[in-house]
Order: sequence, then C-alpha cells, then structure tokens
Amino acid sequence: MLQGVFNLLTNPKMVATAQNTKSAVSIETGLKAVGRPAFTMMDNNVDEKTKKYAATKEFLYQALCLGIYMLLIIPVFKMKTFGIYKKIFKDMPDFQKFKNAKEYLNYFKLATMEKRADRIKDPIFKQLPEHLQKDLDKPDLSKEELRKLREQKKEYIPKYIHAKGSIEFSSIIGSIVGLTILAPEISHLVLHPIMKAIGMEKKEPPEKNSEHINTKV
Amino acid sequence: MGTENDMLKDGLKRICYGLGKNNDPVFAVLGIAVFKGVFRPLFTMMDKDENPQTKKYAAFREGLTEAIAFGSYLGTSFVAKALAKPLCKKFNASEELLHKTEKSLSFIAVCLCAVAIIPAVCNVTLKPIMDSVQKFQKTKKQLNETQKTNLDIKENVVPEMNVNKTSELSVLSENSKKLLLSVPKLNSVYNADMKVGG
Repeated sequence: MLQGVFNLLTNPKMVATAQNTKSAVSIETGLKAVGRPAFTMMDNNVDEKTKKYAATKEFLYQALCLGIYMLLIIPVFKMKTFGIYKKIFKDMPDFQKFKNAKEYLNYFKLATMEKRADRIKDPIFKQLPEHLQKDLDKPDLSKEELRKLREQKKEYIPKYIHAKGSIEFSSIIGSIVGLTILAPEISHLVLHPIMKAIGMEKKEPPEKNSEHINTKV
Repeated sequence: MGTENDMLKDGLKRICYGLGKNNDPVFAVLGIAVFKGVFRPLFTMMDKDENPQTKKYAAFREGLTEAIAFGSYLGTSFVAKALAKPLCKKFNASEELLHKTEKSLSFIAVCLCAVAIIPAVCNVTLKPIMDSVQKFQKTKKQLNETQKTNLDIKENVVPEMNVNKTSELSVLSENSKKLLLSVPKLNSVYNADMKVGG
C-alpha cells in the first residue's frame, strides 16, 4: 500500500497539478465549497434554519468565487500578462521563443514527458512551431545518461523555467487580487438574488415607520 | 533610475526562476489568507449600512478566521513535507523524487486544510474566542458606565447664583433686595432629584 501511495505522490500528473497554481487554487476552492457547508451543518450551537441558511450561502459563495476565478481571473492574469514579461525580458530566450502563454504551456506539457514517442504522438506537437519541435524531438537517453545530466544540473529537454515561473507568479497575484477583492464583491451582488430566488433570503422585519399615523386628532 | 529598473528586473527574474523551479501550492493560499485577513475586515468596517458594534464583531471574526487559515496551511504543509524524507528513504528515492514527493504532499495538505482542518478548527475555537471578547467588551462598557454615572453626580451642580448682578436686581424693590442679600450664596452641591421650589 505504501508503494501505491509513493507512486501516486511521484506521478508526473500529480506533481504537475501540485505545482500549478491555477489547478491548486481551483481544487482548493472547490473543496472549500464542500467542506465549509458540511462543517456548518455539523455545528450544534446554532438552530437548524440558521445552519441551512449559512451552509447554502457559503456553498454558493465559494461556487461563485470558483466560477469567477476560472472564467475571469485566470484568463486575464495568467494569459494576458505573458506579453508584459516578453517586453521586460527582451534578451531572454525563455520568453522570446514563445508567442504567448498558451504556446509555452503546450510546450511545457510535452517537455515533461519522458519518452520521445509520447511527445511526438501528442496532437499538440504538430501545433507548435518548428524551433520548439526541434527542442522536443530528441532521442531517449538511458537512465545512466539521465542521471549524469541531473548530477551536472543540466536539462536534456529545456523547460525554459523563467517562463513557467512568470506564469505562476501572475497566477499567484491574480489569485490573491481575484479571490480577495474581485470575486467577493461580484459574488455579493449575485448571491442575494440567488438566495432570494431559492427562498432562503432572510425576511426583513417590518419597518416601524409603516404604522398608520392618525392625522385626524 | 536605470539602476533601480535593473534591480527590479533582476528581482523579478529571480522570482520567476524560483517559482518556475520550486512552486508550491502553499504560496498562493498563504498569500490569499494574508490579504483576505486584511481586506475582508476592512471592507466590513467600510459598510455604512451596518451598526458599528456588528461591524466590529464581523470584522474581528473574519480576521480571526483568516489567521486560523494561515496557521493551518503553514502547519500542515510543514508536517506534510517532513513526511516526505522518511517515505523517500524507504524507497531509496533520488533527490528529484524527494522534491516531487514534497510538492505532492504539500498539495494534499492544502486540500485537507481547505476541506476539513480549517472549518473544524474554526468550529471549535471561534465561538469561545468571540464569547470571551464579547464578555470583555461588556465588562469594559459596564465599568465605563459606572465611572460616567459617578462623574455625572459630581458635575450636576447648580450654577452659582451671583446675587450681585445689577441687571437682575434693578427690577426688584428695596425690601426684596435686602432679603436676597441676607441669604447665603447658593453654591452647594445637591442631588439632581431634589426639586427646587416644587
């Protein structure tokens, strides 16, 4: 069983997900949407109606934040800022070799594959420009040769780490700005109408001023 | 200006290299917890539709929740990474695999925190802390009110009547003036409940 756990932890897809800010934050927000309402319902200090209201509100809030994050924040911060890095780092091949963030991420996905056959077979390979295909189309090395390269801290298939880091940095900034300021504000505008539509909005107490004033005194 | 730009560029280059090589899911969630811990209470306090007491309570609760989140993410990530070394040692894993295991375990720790640890810790700790704070506030308010009541008693003085004011005396008869001047000065403290001339 421990071997199975170790294999899972070292699986390239698992590692890629763990080191990808967008995936990590999305999964974390999704889990919050499930976990927080569940714990709210388990709270014995509050009555049933309040628990249901709070749990529903929390679920909707997290779900809305996730939606806004995926549809608005990531496209803007992750993808659009790559052009800014290209302008700042004009002398670095890490940025100049790629047209945009999408092209880099497609390249990176193939660059992390160990076998040449897997890289070439993938449909993304043909979408990449020639100079990037050349970087990926290298014969497989033996384990011994790979170990020697690792010891010398050299990369066989270049991963252009600065470009990866820039995308992650933008994702982190976007996550912070988006989930701290933008998503909550937008969610609150949308949340109350939804709560009202499903009949869970708290009823306002009747206003005291609405009493009929007898003017015929 | 040129040197400053170069420094910023160099700093950004280092950040990009560091995150490209060694990104950790805990970085983003810690950053989110810190900024939420600052901005959520701030937005709450800026809400003009709510009364000040409610705002203070909500802001404090929000700040406390994010502080719990920050501590939980940091603590569990630290524990998770500590588990990586013995696990890799058991399977004679390379340095590269140890690095990968640490990242995966850190991700699992972040997920566990989000789904269970933070809500559970908040459920257990928030209520007692908020109750203690409310109790403290109530005691402080009562103390202030008691002090204020004591001060009110001392300060509730009838202003000193100046019987020598000529503008007031000029309308009175000679006998009335003599009668007034014979009465001692009215500058004593007396209870607010006592009615004068009633």
